[in-house]
Amino acid sequence: MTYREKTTWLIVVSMAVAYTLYFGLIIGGHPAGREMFPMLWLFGGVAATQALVVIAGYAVLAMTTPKAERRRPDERDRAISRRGAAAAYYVLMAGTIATGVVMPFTDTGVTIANTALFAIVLAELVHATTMLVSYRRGWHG
Amino acid sequence: MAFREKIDWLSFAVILFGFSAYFWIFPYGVAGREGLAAQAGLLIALAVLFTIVLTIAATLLALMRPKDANAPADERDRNITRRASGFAYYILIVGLAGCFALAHVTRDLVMVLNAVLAAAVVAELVRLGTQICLYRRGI
Repeated sequence: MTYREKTTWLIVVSMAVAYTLYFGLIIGGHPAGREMFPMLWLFGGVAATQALVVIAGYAVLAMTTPKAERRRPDERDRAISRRGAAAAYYVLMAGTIATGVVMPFTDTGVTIANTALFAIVLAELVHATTMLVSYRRGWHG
Repeated sequence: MAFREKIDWLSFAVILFGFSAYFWIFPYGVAGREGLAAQAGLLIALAVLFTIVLTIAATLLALMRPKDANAPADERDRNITRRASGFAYYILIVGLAGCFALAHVTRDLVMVLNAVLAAAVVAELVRLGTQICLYRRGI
């Protein structure tokens, strides 16, 4: 498995765990699903913890991977990243339209903000998962 | 000019003029339910206008060059689409992050929703604009 594939796995797993916890708490009735300040605190805590885990993971991967493997992204890496971002764009655009155009007529501010957050997380997961699938299947762009 | 490039130009122009008009005539002083109703009314009008204009123009373009219009996207078209969408994705992420920040500064839901709409429109214009540039530059 290449270094970039490992870092992508790190991002996918950390995001999946962090935001499953976040949205799980909200579905379970946490005040972050109804009020702005609890939402800010919970989201801030989850996002900061995830960032620390990713930084620590990157450090471990950098120390355990030879420098030659940690080279700058080549044309294939860039093509794979673009493929992932292109797939994520449509997910995020659909989420944006749902939260910005449709939901205002049915829901309140915090629910809209959490749904927008869910759209961003989902788009990032699609981005990273598309990259992983492309690496696994040997896609060359 | 390729059929797909013409469609990109057409979509770019329609979105640019349509949403320029939207943001120009929007009644900014109105908040709450009335503001949401104004937003819904204008968006429905825009959606109808976009559908009519794009359908008629795309049909005319397709009738003029039926062979081009029916050709499936080749590897270059797909590459251009991926590059442009990938670029627009980051614009949209930044735009939505800005909307989150705005939502914590103001209590005006209509303003935040217009900002979300603006982020989506800018991202789509960037996507179409990048596609046009890449077709022009001949990648």
